[in-house]
Amino acid sequence: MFFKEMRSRQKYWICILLVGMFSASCSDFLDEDAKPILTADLWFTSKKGINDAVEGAYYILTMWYATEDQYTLTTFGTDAHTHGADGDHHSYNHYDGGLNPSSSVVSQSWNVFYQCINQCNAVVDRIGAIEMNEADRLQRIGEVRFLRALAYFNITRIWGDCHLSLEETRHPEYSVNWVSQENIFEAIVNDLEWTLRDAGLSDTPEEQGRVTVSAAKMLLGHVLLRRSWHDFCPDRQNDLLRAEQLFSEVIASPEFQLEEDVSDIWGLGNYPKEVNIEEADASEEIIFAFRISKDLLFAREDVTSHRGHLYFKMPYDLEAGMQRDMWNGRPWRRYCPTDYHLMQWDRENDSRFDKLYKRAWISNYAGNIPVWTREEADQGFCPVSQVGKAKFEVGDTAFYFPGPGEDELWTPERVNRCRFVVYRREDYTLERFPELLKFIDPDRKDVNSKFGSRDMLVYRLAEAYLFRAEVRHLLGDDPGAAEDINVIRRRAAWKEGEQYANKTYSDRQTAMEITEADISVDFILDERLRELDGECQRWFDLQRTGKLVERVRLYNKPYENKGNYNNFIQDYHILRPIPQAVIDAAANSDSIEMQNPGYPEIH
Amino acid sequence: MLKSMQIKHFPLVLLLLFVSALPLHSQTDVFLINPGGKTLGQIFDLIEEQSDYTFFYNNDDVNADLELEIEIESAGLEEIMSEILANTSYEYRIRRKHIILTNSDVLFSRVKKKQVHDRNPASDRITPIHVSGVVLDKRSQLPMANVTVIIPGKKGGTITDSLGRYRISLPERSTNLAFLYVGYLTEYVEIGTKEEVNVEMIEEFIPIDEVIVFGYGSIRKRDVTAAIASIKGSEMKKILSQSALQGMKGQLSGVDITQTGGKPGQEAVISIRGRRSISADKPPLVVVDGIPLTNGAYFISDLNANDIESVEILKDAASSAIYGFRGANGVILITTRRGKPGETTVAYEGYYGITTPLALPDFMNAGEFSSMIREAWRYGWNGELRPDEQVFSTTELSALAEGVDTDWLDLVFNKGYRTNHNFSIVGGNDRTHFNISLGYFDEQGLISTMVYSRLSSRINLDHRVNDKLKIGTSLSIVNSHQDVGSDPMLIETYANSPLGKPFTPSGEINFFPVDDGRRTNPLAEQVEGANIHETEVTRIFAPVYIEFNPFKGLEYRVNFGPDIRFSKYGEFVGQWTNQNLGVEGSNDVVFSNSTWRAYTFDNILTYRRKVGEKHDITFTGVSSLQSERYEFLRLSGSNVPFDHGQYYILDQASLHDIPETDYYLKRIASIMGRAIYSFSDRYIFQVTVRHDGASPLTEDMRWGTFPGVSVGWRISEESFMQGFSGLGDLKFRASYGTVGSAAVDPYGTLGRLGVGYYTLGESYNLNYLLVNLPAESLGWERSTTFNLGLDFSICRNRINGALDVYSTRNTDLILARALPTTSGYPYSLENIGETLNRGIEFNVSAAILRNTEGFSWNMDMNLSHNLGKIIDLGGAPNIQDTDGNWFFVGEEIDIYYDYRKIGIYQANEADLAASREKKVPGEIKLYDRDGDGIITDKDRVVFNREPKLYGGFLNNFSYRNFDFSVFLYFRVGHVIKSEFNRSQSSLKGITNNLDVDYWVPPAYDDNGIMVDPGNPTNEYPRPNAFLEYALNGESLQYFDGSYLKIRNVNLGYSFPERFTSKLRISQLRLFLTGEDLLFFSEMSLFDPENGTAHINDRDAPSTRSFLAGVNIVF
Repeated sequence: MFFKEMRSRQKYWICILLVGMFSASCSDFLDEDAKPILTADLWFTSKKGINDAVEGAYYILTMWYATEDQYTLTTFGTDAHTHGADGDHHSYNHYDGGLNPSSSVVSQSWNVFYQCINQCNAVVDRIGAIEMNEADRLQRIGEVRFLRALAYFNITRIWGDCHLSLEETRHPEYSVNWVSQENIFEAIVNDLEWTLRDAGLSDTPEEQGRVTVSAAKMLLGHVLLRRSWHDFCPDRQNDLLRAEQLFSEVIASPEFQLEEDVSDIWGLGNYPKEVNIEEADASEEIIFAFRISKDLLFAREDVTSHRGHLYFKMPYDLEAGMQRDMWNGRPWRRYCPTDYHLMQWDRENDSRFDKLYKRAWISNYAGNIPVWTREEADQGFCPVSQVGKAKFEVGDTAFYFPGPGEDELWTPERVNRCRFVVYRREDYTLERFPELLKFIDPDRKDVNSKFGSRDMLVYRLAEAYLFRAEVRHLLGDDPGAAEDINVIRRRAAWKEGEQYANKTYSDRQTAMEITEADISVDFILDERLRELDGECQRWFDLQRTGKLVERVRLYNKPYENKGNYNNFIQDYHILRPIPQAVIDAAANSDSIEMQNPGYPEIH
Repeated sequence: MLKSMQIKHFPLVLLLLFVSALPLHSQTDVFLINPGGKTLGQIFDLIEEQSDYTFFYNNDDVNADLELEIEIESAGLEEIMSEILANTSYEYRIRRKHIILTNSDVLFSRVKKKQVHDRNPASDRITPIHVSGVVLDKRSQLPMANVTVIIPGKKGGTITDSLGRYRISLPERSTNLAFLYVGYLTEYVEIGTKEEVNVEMIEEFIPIDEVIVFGYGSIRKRDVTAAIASIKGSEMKKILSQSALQGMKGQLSGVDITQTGGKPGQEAVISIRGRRSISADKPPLVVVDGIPLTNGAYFISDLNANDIESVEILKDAASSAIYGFRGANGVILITTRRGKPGETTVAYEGYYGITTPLALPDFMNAGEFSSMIREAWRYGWNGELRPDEQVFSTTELSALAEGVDTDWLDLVFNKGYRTNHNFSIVGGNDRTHFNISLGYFDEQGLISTMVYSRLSSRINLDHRVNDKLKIGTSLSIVNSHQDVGSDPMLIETYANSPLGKPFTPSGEINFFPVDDGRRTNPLAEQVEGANIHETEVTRIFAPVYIEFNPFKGLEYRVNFGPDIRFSKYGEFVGQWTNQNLGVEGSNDVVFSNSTWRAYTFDNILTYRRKVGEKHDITFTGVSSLQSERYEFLRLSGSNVPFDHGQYYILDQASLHDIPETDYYLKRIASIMGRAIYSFSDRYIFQVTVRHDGASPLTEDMRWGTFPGVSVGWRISEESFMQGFSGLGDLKFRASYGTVGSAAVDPYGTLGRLGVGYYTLGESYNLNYLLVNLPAESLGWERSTTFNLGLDFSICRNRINGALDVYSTRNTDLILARALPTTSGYPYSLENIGETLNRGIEFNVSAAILRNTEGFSWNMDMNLSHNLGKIIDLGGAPNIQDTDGNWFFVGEEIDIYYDYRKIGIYQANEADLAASREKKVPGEIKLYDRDGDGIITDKDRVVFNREPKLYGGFLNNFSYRNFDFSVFLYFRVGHVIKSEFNRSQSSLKGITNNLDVDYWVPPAYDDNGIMVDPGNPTNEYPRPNAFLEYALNGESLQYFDGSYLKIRNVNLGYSFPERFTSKLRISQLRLFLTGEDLLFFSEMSLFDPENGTAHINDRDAPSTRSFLAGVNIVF
């Protein structure tokens, strides 16, 4: 009614203006200008792209390997280590209420493994459509099937039954398919047998860090050995024989050699003058390790660094005459060796404690060096002339652990007269203990940098001997087992003329040898503790052999045991809780018993 | 930029627009006049009775005994005045509360005579007709000179003389006259048979209590049908804080603004009517002078509060629908001051004052701390204490012996200051007017290196080219500089041991106060040049408009608003800092730049028409394009060769990190139409339809259509309401509307690959990872609001206010639906789920005393209640987002989900502690919600973070030349989280600890007789050196966050005119202000207001300010 009254000129204006206005919006204005991004369909469709995807699968696993999550799940809560004074996740040592389905350690680990599996699945699914050399194609598939098997192996070791997917996720998946551990093992064995048979991998890969054929054999042997411990194992004898064969092939490979000196595995050959991490990472003993960048530029990358250097240290910087420095590292005192652990060392014969533990700290700070007191002089600990003078200077020993078996040499009289501080077993606390040196890293960017550059070792040749010994023991071949273990023990023995801490040793190889009578599961476990100390295997070893609960109850105690030390481990703790977030998100969680027994069901 | 808009398709870009106000008359007070014969004087008495107006007239000019026949029963003042004076020669003007009557026969005798002369209009159709009259400014009732008077579409015209008079010849009858004046709305008047046409021109900026700016236009407040809150710039300015946002805090119902911390320049957060969306948790849209800012409320601090004329907040969907999805969380409309014709005025406003800590946490002193450490090293929970040598380091032992007791907070926190200076020059002539302002704000925090300063300048310019065309701009350039200091500056202050020595014997800073190689001296962090963390922002916001009025009632406006923001961040952390621990030659530098380039391009067509006396209709059509481009570059490295080069010599650093870069482009296109129809000023209807497109959504789902309708019913206009005396205005409003929300990051739906770096061989390789699942089909989240409101004005307008109830339902939530990560992906983006928010808002202002013996008292109060609830999460009972936040069906959106502490396990509860929680006495006892005897995840409880009620209470008093105001602000019924109470109360003994009441075991002698009861408290657990934090220490973090705050107290004195006139200034006011003077709360640690976020050890204490200032107008 309003427009009727309007003059034609006015209508004209309105029409013109309306047309003008709405022609301003046009169709391509809203197209996304996705300059900085790539998608799988865009990138994983070329040779270059699929190679990136393969490398990405390695990278994803380094979000678990060498991280705090890996150390938390494998190191303490065992007979070898208990918690130190600092750090989170003590519940994984105490098996208390904090070890529950909401713990970030389990959910983060879970996510990494399944993310890796999806990445591997994508490579397997997509690589067929890419134009590339057939040998390269098979090799790439072999690599990702190895990595997929490794991820599933970790999943099923940690959680038991779980979801199995061998195809890339293309659409949202709301449900899970819960399959038994038996089926997971079968899938793992399938992947690895395929890799060994068809992938054409060698022991001399084009680049250091890629999967080798021996790596696949180690993993398959490990998988079969573990399956043989399970009731569901379809053919125990067959698995063990196949495992023995695989380990024998690895041992026979000319590409891998045992280091003569255990300290060389860790680049500690010239310690305390020098630590050579690159040499350690290139050791011929290494069968498979995740590479960590040596480039300081990338060593700051939070996820892809090795954190092990932080965890086994005591807070030396709180001691007199000491301050924090690069050489001594950043002491996070997470894992403290148990009393049982320290009783393992036969230091007369076995060089491993002396070579791989730090016992003396050299003063690097003049600020608070103690002085001799009048009382000390009165008691005759020092000449009167020394009263008021510094007990030691920068560059001298500031404090010292005699270590297992040598405390007796340090009588109270001797300790009192000593210029430096001496800590014997009764002085040990949760933040005062000898340090494991295996992961120290003075190549970090700065003293407080958490980002270490050591490669994360997964398998080394010594373990092939230890695995084969276990296999042989299970097959009833104890002489064979003793022979394998003796290879490792002879290597660990003091050699003629070796000098350590002002002591010269004679050849102790024969003294280290054992006989078939010594062989038992417990002995094999103890030898693994001594050889693989701190190498993220312990919890799995105890779990595999069914000794976890027993040994934690007996031995998960620090040397100081004056307080009420509580460990709440129960039989069900041989598996970790399924992350609550996974159960919450699964659309079919009502129809599947997802949570492992013993852990609270929330529904 | 222009090219990408495809402007070639747009032929009319030069045409222009219009916006601001509808040319409607305003009406203030309403009076009841009994019909029947009355004299002029009697009517004046009636009006005086019902108002504070007083009549002034000369008895010689005005005959008060004149008898009148009045037909109206109730009307606004102006309506009554024009009615009663219609057949007289009397004119009136209103100045303040005085109504001045004059006799126009005397004033304009010449015109009057003419009128008498041409009394028979019907007769002459051929001879030119002369029309004359006077033009007044509606507000001041002063005559306006130089107003252009023309006949639209014809040549020729005239202008008014210095007394506002004009005279013009018309070629024919029934012609319109147009009255034009820059800065005023053009008035069109139908001549009909009239020969005298007096016009009152309305300033384009219309006082805010009468006209409300809303989307793409303005509206009389009485015609508002939606939920809109508004505040004048002058009210906000009373709060002397750094940002406009803080000035609004507590003054508007439904608008919840809270400060996040005590650092200078730290921005407040704003939420309108609570959180409604889970992922679309974005701040409200901010619109400045009609241009929607792409950067939203985050950057509101770029505005100088002195430049703000008014702020309107659109709260319901019907009003914010005009801004579409950008307005889904509410819209803040900011209007800056514009120039006016007349004498140029220069004004200065400034203040200066000091700031002190509002509250400081209470930490342990040396004695308390050392006792706690001894307890922490006890063997087990009830074993022996260890000897001191095992417990304390050498340095600590000697400090204990020397009696060292350092209060670090006292050393670190000093007084800060805050100052602000603002100059403005406002003026103009008939064609051009301007507002030029320059402002400088400077604040130093409680630590001398925490600073924020801002220099801002603005030029608002309007120019009328001719009667059809107007152009203008609002150019604003702001440069701000902020240095918030380093985190260790605060962390080390709270963490350092009271046994540490801050200074060496020679008086220098002792870098390692306790010689542990870890704790460093916070005083070292504030040494000049040791630590730089500076952000410098330059913002250029320069909207321009062209406004085109081809004929009466039709306006076309083009707004083009470029908005460019450069942000630079520079960091230098030197050797003597906690980060570098004094290591020789070590330092870290960061240099980063981000740039936003955004523009808004709007075409607005408005057609207004009044049909007959009763139908009033307005159509508005808008097309709008918005584009935002972001670029980012960050470089960092370590160990530059010399300190004073700071981050500027990053190229010379010995270590370089991976550079970081980023880019995105986000675009929005919209078409909108709106119709407003008002019948008889009594019934108002409004309909809006909008069609929106947003680039981040998936291609097939990009466009959405969103309607809104609202109605208003001015009940007080109905005849049946006329009997209620004292009732001024009563209006019922109802609105219903839907807006969309597209809160998804650019490229968020595409399935972007992640980036990894893996080393194979000797060098690292870049590689790509599957981390995001492409969204299959992601469209609009819809938010539908139903709002009922009542506006009232009673007791002769002494009390007025509004009450609103609303319900907002968000459906098709854009939700990162958690997947069981077995798929390799943590979530998929989907439109699922639903939330419901309901609330009540009430505000009232009352003039309790109006100049009673020089004393006035005004009171304003507002109260808001909002309750949000999640109705559905796509079938899941709860979800957790990637940041670990929980969402539960049936609960509010903002919650904490954690265990609740109910006490401490006592010595006789060892068995209970072990069986329930695998704990020992002295540890935290948790609430067993399901009562199954053990503590599991199921026993966690929900803590609500949204206040049940919040609001403000403002009292203004004035007595003669003094004015005084007190403003209180409160929020009640919510839980806040203080991480500080866990991290700074770890009871581990390696950092200083809050002085808390911790548990100590009882001691027994050999016979089992208790010799010492210990401390069987239920407050804090037993200190334990072997735990990083107490087990379930998180449960120590939750507090009732309710508080009442004295936000502002202001005392001012305006010098009397007789004094100021001698100084040749027109206004001079001095004032004293106290801000954030006190608060009352259970949570007394810092400032419960900061608890909206979290309180942690990187927070600086909030400040209390005492300021003095002056306002001068020349």
